[in-house]
Amino acid sequence: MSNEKIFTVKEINNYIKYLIQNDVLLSHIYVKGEISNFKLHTSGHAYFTLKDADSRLKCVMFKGNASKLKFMPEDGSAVVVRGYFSIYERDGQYQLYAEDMIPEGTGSLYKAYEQLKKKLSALGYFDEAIKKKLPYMPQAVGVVTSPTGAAVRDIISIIKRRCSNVDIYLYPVQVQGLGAENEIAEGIRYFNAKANVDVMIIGRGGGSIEELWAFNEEEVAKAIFESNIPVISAVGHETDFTIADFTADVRAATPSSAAELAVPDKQSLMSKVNQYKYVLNTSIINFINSYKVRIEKISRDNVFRQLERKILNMNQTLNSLNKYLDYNMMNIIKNNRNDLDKTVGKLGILNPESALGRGYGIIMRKTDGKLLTSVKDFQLHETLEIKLKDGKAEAEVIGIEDLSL
Amino acid sequence: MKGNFSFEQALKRLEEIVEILEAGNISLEESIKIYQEGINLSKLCSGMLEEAEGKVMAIMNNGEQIGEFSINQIREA
Repeated sequence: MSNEKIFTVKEINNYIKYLIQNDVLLSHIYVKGEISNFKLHTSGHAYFTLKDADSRLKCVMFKGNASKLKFMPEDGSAVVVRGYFSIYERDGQYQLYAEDMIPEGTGSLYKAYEQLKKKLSALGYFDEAIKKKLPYMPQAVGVVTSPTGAAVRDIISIIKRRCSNVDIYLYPVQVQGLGAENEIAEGIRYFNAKANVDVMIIGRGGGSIEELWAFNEEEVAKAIFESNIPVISAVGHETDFTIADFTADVRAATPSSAAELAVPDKQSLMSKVNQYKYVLNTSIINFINSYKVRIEKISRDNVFRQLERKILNMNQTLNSLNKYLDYNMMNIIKNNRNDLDKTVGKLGILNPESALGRGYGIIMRKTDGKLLTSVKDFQLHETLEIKLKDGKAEAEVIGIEDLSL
Repeated sequence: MKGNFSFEQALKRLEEIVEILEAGNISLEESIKIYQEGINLSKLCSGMLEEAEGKVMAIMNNGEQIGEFSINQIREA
């Protein structure tokens, strides 16, 4: 014994922990059994034992996982636990560290769900990048759901209430039971082939995991994935996440909220538009008023008042210049008048008739009244007329002597 | 599929115009121009919202033929 290695308790517990943690099977495992000694500690961690007729297994579920459980486990529940094995070194106690737990009847479904989710995720079905944007105001909504039940009533009445002018096309399907997944997929493909709707809602009301199962089938996921029309998925309650929810462009917590996501609230849009109209009107009035104020301010400005004064001054100058001009014109006219009078006076002096008084006479031929100024005009024995200051006399030419010859 | 995009566009442009007008740093001429545009858009939007009542139809599969029936017809039947 002396030449073999001696371990401390801690060392060997560590080693066993190492072995367990590196075991492929034990690091990801499903175990079914019946719960006993279930205790939810104040820390939020859950401690319990899984047992069957012959054996027991200590289990712990930490707060983070325990808080996500969709049901409250109790002693006697038959469950399937997913988790990994490890060892609690202090007690040398190996345990199952539970990560998730579901009631046992649903165990196989749960596994199928996990597997399909992994597969479709790898195929890119859930990629955010390929999610389609929902239309802002659809003209028509397609609904793929059961024609009976609360879901379809809620969807139709909420769409009608929010946006009454939207057309609704219901493609009635069985949402559970044999072949339900094919009907749902057919509904999605029908709307794609017809292209008569802008968005579609697929879903159903709440139910057990088995009842919701059709929405976890690959057939439905494929139809959603291939749809050209945006799909809103609304399956069960807020806590239910189906494969259809992950694949859809938008996941709604419930059918009612799917209807709210699908169409806008007309009333609130209307009041939005009216509000914009109001802001438009007040803005333009404010705008124009601000210009008015500016114009008033500018017109009160000094520059303008100076300009006004300048114009007044110029007007005054113009007036006095006008008066001056008038005065000058009058003078010119007056002067000219004097000149004219003088000239007329001179003309009076030059008037030959005025000389008649001083002993001169005007001699004209009697026959034609021609004024005779030269002896050459005279002919012997013709009759002449002699005009003097106070009358006329007739005379006959009895001799002509031309001195110029 | 008709026209659902134009409502969104009209509303978006209307929002832009309201912002521009509220900011107010444009010419008077420009502001009157876009005010007109805004009023027209608001009329367009209101008009779209006041469209006629939509129909509610169910798709029925009678053997080989798929038809659309109004929900009221189905309830009466």
